[in-house]
Amino acid sequence: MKIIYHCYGGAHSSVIAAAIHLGLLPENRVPTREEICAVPLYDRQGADEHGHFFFMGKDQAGHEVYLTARRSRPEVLENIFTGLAGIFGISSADYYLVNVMGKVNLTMKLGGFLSRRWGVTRVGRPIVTVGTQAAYFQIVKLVQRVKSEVGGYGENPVFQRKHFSTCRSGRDDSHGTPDGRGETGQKYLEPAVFEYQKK
Amino acid sequence: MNIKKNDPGKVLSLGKDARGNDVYALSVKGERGMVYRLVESFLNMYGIGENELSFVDSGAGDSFYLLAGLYCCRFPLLVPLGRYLISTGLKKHYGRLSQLTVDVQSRLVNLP
Repeated sequence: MKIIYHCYGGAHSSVIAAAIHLGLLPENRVPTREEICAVPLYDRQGADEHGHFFFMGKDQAGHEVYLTARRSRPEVLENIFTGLAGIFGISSADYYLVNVMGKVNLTMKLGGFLSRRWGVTRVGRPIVTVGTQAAYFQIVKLVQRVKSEVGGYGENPVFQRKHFSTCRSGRDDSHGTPDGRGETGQKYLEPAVFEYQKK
Repeated sequence: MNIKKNDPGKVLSLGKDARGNDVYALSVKGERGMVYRLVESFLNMYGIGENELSFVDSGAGDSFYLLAGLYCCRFPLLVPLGRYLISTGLKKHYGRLSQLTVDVQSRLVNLP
């Protein structure tokens, strides 16, 4: 399944949601400013890239995580995506569009506007980062809800990352079959694939 | 054809052409570049070949008559005027639109 997080500019809330989904940011505490700014694509995307689907990586259940920007037109993204999927016979169970905009607070909007629209990154980025920290647990809740709806993460997605982190080769899989394969048939030997590129 | 206000970006099926190609219409106010990127990205994401979909900008929004007609249609009293302007605009640009379809059809014939 392809999980696509989308927001206005694809630079802050959707990037954070995708990073949390992939386990790049913690779910149990608010990350520091440095940790947030170190997330690839955070506060990076420009207006000329809005509409591109950026591949962020694969999660532990094998779902592909993307992010995109759709400005103030979520219905355009949803209608076009649904329409094209219908034309090419792609099942609605194969993708999941997640609107992260509902979790964005005023501080994030102000900082994002200054940084992305006006290009005052030096002023805007610290502001948007503070806003991101304030809205962090709401985004975490959204990601957890998405994971529980999508499924394939075992019993409880909240504790799964902790469970996997104890493995010497990246991830433990005590629920899997003896040959090292998990419930989804994926081998848990490598860390989450992480590449951000235009797809 | 009646496209509702809350349907921007909805892909409408119009039928098949003489060669059996499916024809669709898509209407989005503004955001032209973003729509192009969305469609292109979607095709890349699912590994769909570029030849599978021909995305053509009719450029109808560039016509002053059409834009004025659409604006007038927002107000009930001005709907007749709006329709008149739209039909005038379509008549004015009919040659260009028909040439566009001819070009697209010839391009499709030349595809490998």
